[in-house]
This record gives sequence, C-alpha cells and structure tokens, in this order.
Amino acid sequence: MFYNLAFKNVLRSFKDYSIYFLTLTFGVCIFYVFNSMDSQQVMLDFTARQSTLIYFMMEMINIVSTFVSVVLAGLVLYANNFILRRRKREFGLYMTMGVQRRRIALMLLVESVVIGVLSLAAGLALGLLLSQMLSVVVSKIYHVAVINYHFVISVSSLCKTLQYFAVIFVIVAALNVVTVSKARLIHLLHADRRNEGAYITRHLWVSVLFFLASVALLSGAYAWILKIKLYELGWSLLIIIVMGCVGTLLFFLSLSGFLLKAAQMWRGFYFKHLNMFVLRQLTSKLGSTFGSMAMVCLMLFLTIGALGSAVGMNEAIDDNFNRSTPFDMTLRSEYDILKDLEALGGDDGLLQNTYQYPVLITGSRFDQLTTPYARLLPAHRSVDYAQTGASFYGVSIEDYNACMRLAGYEELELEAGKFAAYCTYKPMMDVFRAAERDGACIEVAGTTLAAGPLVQQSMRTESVTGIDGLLILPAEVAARLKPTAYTLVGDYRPGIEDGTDQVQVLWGRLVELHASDGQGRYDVFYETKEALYDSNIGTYGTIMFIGIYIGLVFLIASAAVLSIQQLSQSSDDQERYRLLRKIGTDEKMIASAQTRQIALYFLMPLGLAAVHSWVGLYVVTDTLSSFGNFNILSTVLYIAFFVLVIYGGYFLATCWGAKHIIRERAME
Amino acid sequence: MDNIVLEVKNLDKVYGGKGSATHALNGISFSVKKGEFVGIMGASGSGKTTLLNCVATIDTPTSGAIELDGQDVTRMRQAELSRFRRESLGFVFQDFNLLDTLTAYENIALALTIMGQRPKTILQRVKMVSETLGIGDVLKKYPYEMSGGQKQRVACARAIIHNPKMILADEPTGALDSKSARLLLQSFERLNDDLGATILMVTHDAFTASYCRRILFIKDGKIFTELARAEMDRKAFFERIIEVVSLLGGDVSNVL
Repeated sequence: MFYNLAFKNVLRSFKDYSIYFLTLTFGVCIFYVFNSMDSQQVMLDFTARQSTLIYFMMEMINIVSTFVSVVLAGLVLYANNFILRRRKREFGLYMTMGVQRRRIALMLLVESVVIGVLSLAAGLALGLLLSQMLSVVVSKIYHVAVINYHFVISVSSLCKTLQYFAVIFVIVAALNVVTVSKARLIHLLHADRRNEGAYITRHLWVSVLFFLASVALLSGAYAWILKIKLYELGWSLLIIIVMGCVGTLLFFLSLSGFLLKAAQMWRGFYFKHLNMFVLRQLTSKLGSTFGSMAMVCLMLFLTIGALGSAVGMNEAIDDNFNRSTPFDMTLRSEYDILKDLEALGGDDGLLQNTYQYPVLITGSRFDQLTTPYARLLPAHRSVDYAQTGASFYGVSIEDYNACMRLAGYEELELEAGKFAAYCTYKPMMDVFRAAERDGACIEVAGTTLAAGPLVQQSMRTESVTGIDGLLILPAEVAARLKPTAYTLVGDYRPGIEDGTDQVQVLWGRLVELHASDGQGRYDVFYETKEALYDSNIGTYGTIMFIGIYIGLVFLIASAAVLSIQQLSQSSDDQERYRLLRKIGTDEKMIASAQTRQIALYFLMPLGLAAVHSWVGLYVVTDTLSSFGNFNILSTVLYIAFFVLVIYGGYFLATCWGAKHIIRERAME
Repeated sequence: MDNIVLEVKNLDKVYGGKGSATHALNGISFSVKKGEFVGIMGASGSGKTTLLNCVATIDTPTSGAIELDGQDVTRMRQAELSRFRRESLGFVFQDFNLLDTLTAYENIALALTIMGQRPKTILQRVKMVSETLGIGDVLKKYPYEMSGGQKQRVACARAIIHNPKMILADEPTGALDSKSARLLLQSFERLNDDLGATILMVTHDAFTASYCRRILFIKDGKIFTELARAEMDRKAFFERIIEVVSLLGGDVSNVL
C-alpha cells in the first residue's frame, strides 16, 4: 500500500517530474558519453603515438567531469526543491491524517529512487546510442577510418556514471528527508497561500540609473576587449570579466522596471489584450529572479563561447593544416641536403617528388615594412622588430612555383617589380594586406619592390604557427641574394608506412654527417605531416571535446533553471489564469499569453548572451585567425543547432508542462 | 416582456452518478427584470452557489434553460461562453480576485483590454467608473496596498466597466468588515439606482441581503419563498428577512 502510493505519486506528478527527469537524463547521457571516449572503437584504432594524446585528453575529461558533476548536483537539487515546494500541501495532508514524518520521508525516498533509477536507465540508454555516434564524429575529426565497427559499451564509464550519480541521489534523498522532518505542519498546509506584497516596485529613475550603468559597464568591457588582443590581456581580462558580470547583473536588475515603463509609454501596445498581464507577470518574476537570470545569461555565454571556440578551432586547424602541409615531409639544413644525401648514399628509397630550394636572407628589415602599420601590431612586436633588426627571409618565385607544381596547387603569377608574401601570424598578415593596398615598398638587394599579394599556400610542410613573413621574390632579385639554408620537400614513396620514423633516422644520419665538421652546432630539422597532425589534433582535439562537454552541460543547466522557474511560476499562476477564464478571457488569448511569457523569459538571457557572444566570438576569431581561417558562419550554425535542440527542447517541454499546470484547476 | 434580463427555467443540476446522485438544483425557475437588484439566500449546501455558477456560465446545468437577454447560455459552446462572459456579465467574488501583479487601474482595465477596447476608451471608462465608486485615489496602488473594502470596490469597478447586462456577486461582503461592507453595499445601491445596473447577489448574510429589492430563498435546490422589499424601509425589510431565515433554518432542524 505504502510503496504503491510512492509509485503512484511518481506517475501522478509526472508533469512535475518531467523537467527533473529530462535534466537528469541529459546529465547522465553527457556524462557517460564523454567519459566513455577512450573506449570508443575509433580510439582503439589509433596508433601508439596517438594513444598518449588520448590519455592526456581523458585526464582532462576526468578533471572536468568532477566539475560537471558538481554543476549537475546543484541542478538536481534545484529541480528537486521545485517538486518539494509543489507538494508541500500534499505532505501536510498526510501529516494531518496522522502519517508519521518518517513514513513520509521514506515515501519521498522511494520516489527519488524510482525517478533516479528511471532517469539513470534512460540517460545511459541514450548515452550508449550517442557514444556510438560520437565514434563517427571522432573518426571524422581525427581522420581515422573505423575498422570493423561494433557496438561498444564502456564499462569504466558506466561504473563512473553510476558512482557519481549515486552520490548525487544520496545527497538529494538526504536533503529531502531533512526537509520533511523539519517541516512545520502549519507551513505545509498554508504553502499554497499567495504571498501578496512580494513585488518590489522600484522608482523609474533607479531603473534608468541601473540600466545606464549596465550599458556603460558592458560597452566599456566590449570596447576594451575589442581594442586589446586576447593574448595581451593578463590582469585586465579579469577586470573585463568582472565588468561584464556586474553589467549583466545590473542589466537584469533594471530590465524589469525599464521594460515595464517603456511598454507603458506605448499605451496602444500595453493596453492590448493580455499584454499588460504578460508584462506584469514577467517583470514581477524578474524582480525576484534577476540574479539567476544573469547567471543563466552568463552560462549561455559560456556555452556559446565554449562551443564556438571548440568548433571554430577545429575548422581553423583543419583549414590551416591543409594549407601548411603540402608535402609528406620537410627537411631543412644549413647545408645542401641533396649533396649530403648523395654523400650518404641516397635516402633508402624513402622519398619521391623531392625538390630543394635555398632560403635567402633578404636583408630587408621587418620594421621597414611595419613602421607605418604599427597600430596593426601588438606593441611588443613592433619594439621587437625595431630592436632586433630582424630581416625577412625570402625565396625565389621560381622555387615557390616549382613546389606548387609538385604539390599540385595553382602557381603564382607575380607582377614585375612586386613581391608576394607568405605569413601565418595574424597581425603581420594584416600588415601585408595593408601594404599591398597602399602600394608600400621595401628595398631588397638594391631593388625597390612593391608589396604584392599574400599567398595562402605554404610551400613546405611546417608547424602551423608563427611564420612572421616569408617574401616570395622575383627571380632576378632572388639570384642576387645569399642562401642561409636549404629546404628539401618531398613525399614518401608508395607503401611507406612508418614515414616519420624513417625521416627521423635520415635526420640522424644527416646530423652525424656534419658532427665532425667542428663548426659548432649544426642546424638541421625535419617536420612530417603525420607528426604535425598528431600534435595538432592532440592539443586542439582535447580543447574541442572539453569545450563541447562544458558547453553542453552549461546549456542544459541554464535551460533547466529557466524551465523550473517558469514551471513554478505556472503553479503560482493557476489562480490568476482561473480568474482570467472566469471574467471571460478567450482560451486562445490565455494560451498565447502564457507562451509569450515563457518565450520572453527564455529569450531575454539568450538575447544578452548572444550579444556577449558576438563580441566574444569576434575576439576569439581574431585570435584564432592567426591559426587559420575561421569560418564564422558554420560555427554559428553549429552553435545554433545545439542551442535550438537543447534550449528549444526545454522551452517546448516547459510550455507543455505549464499548460497542463494551469489547466489542472481551470474551473472549479 | 422585453425588460426581462434573466430567465431561468426548470434548472436541474445533478452531481455524482447512478445510485449516489445529489440534486444540487431541483427544477428552479425565476426571472430577473432589467434594473433589478436581486438577492439569493440559502443555507450552506442549499445550491445557491451552484445556481450562480450556472448563471455565470462557469458551470453547466444538467437540464433546464438559462436565458440571458434572450440567449440560451446552456446551448453555447466554450468560445461563445468566454465571449458572453466578458461582454454580458460582470463578476464580484468573495475573495476579490484581483490580480496581485497589476495596479487597481490595470485590474479594472483588464475587463476592457480582453474585449479589445482602445486605450483611450479604457482611460475614459476607468476614470468615470472609479469616480462613481470613490476609488479615484487608489488607481495607482497594488492590491496589497489597499484595504479590503477598496479591493472589493476595485473588483466592482472591473465588474461594471464594460456595461454588462448583469452583475453577478458571490458573497461580496464575506471578507469585509462591517464598515467596508456597508460602503460596498451602498455602492451597489448607487449602481442599481443611478446607472440602472442589474445585480444578482448570492449571500447568506441577512444584513447584506437587506440592500436588495427582492430576495429568493433557496432550500434543497428549490425556491422556498420570495420576498420583495417594495415600499418597506431597509430595517423593516431586514426583520422580514430574519423571519424567513429562521423559518428556513428552523424548518430544517425542527420539522423534518
């Protein structure tokens, strides 16, 4: 009988439990998926070298998971609190009938266990499915083919998920028991009473003042972060974050009064149908929830930021990677490598399509070009260029085009009297572009050359970052310059599997060849496509997965908080809607009023978060563009997809739940 | 007979199913003329609230007809009923039922905004009605800043602002102290006398009922008797009411 009641309660309160259930399920699902990453089929197909990177990633996911579990625990407690509040009267009734507190607490415990087990099961089932899909995503990102696919269940992740959520449930259950045993009967029975007078009406000028302050703080923070580059911020970043947080809080604090006054000025709108009611509902709710509203807004900002950076980073790296790895490998040495190889008796059949070109010292200083464009460069860079007197390296256009031919890319046509440039450092790229636009000139080996196009394609395989500027010079100018080093590019012969290892061996032999020269340190290095690839993906893949992980959790958290608030609002609103029905308000008008109220509630934090993110993503784009082309459109589309599915899903669930709540006591 | 506003014919309301059916209303018939102030009295469980709910179109009778201004409301559909309620009826409830998030002005205006009236019309109407009811100075206040009497007069203003065919009041003085109750009832009288409003009021309080022009006494879902004030002064009328009430109550406990 007693357990029967508990089970029936879960079924009966299903509408109340729906958001709780949804949140737990999503939480469990995401937790499982990310913790199961190392057991995924695709991961098993990785090479030994890649495995260390995966290991590093899993370490990171472990750390983040702890943090995530704290967030989820908070969320579950919040949702649970909502249910308790809704059911106070019911508990009060049990108590008046003489049911012992112990029994009520026990019943609640059984309910928690039932809902916990159900959501764990649902979450794990969903997680198992999604993690298979993750394999596909991972294989696409890591460019690894999945060999003999089969369904994978990660036992370790399963155990970990169960463990973490068991702890969360125990905490929830314990708190429930404490709440019930401490509750006073009179409070329980009167929990339904509306507490009129809780609505603080602020003076308009206070709202205006707060609103102006928030706009000032936010625009100040925006301007600051847009002006200074992300990597130079240091302490000021902290100040900007504080400014942003305070600004956001003030925004929502002032919004309720401001919004209302603004709408009231527009009488035709304010006194139309239920607009007045919706606005009053919204602003009175905002008056007490501006804090959590601001938090939700910041969480959404974090979500968009994390997802955006994650997706954008991946795209940038991918794009950059393709442009900076035209060949399987690159060797660079002070000596003529082809000659050295001859001396060594060849490359053991390792390479084909090889081409060697000299790297030239142009003698043209960086500051010759950058001085007029100092504003485009970080201050310390300008100073560096001036003090060190560093000069550009150069290559001949003939060598560049030979490499392009070999790699199968389009050749470059250079106008007479001009030079082209290759560069991966964003501020320097801006300088080159500006120089081309303005027709700025530099002097190379006695010839004045005008700035020409900035080429996108690297002529050798090289590490992604930090090419300040390589000049591609007309052949006759290049002929007059002295080589400082030689670069050999080439592909492996077909059938070579362990290219990187073999190149390393070859490099060792080259080093040895000159070890006895007695000229001190011998400068020779190599890069291979696979090694570059692994290190890229190892770092950025980790950042990406962590970004998506955190992003998803925060997205769920923020949507769930809003949802719970709106549902509890709907239970408070039952009376209000009942009155509206009594005095003859159209059902359609009521339905639309409620939907608009919830929609506005969901849109407000999203709106400000979108503005924050627009600025944030702009800054991130700017920073990332030194890594490569950051496709803002596809990034935004990805984010929109995630937000639409999860946030939108919560919105619909809330509308559905809220409709049922106000229909419960439609007419009596 | 075109000055009849409400015509209730043979109204039945049965709660429960077979075997345990309860007749809340048992073939009630009466009519209310335009400009009348009619009271309905009866003990708890006599069916007076059920009757009011049926007339208010909030509840539907099991059988019988309710004709308001010639329209049979029992045959209307949900959407028509909503429209009918907001256009032809005005409500005053025991617990005021004002929206706590709205000011007095907005609470009153609500009855017009849901009809799609223009803000200008709304402003004029609210001003006029609030002056009649003496609440011009509380329009900017929220319900929690008002006294019970003020709240009920605001609710009254909301009930009459759209010139309804009939005002339905359910124990309007139930939550008021005697002074506020008297003020409210005087307002009702004024609405009835000056504006010609038709009022149907349910109450179990003889003092409140003494303000009506005519009283229907209900017992066990049937009309027990009817009392008209005619030329009596209020005090005499009050004493007559008390007589009937004691008869009504005594009848139940002593005779049966």
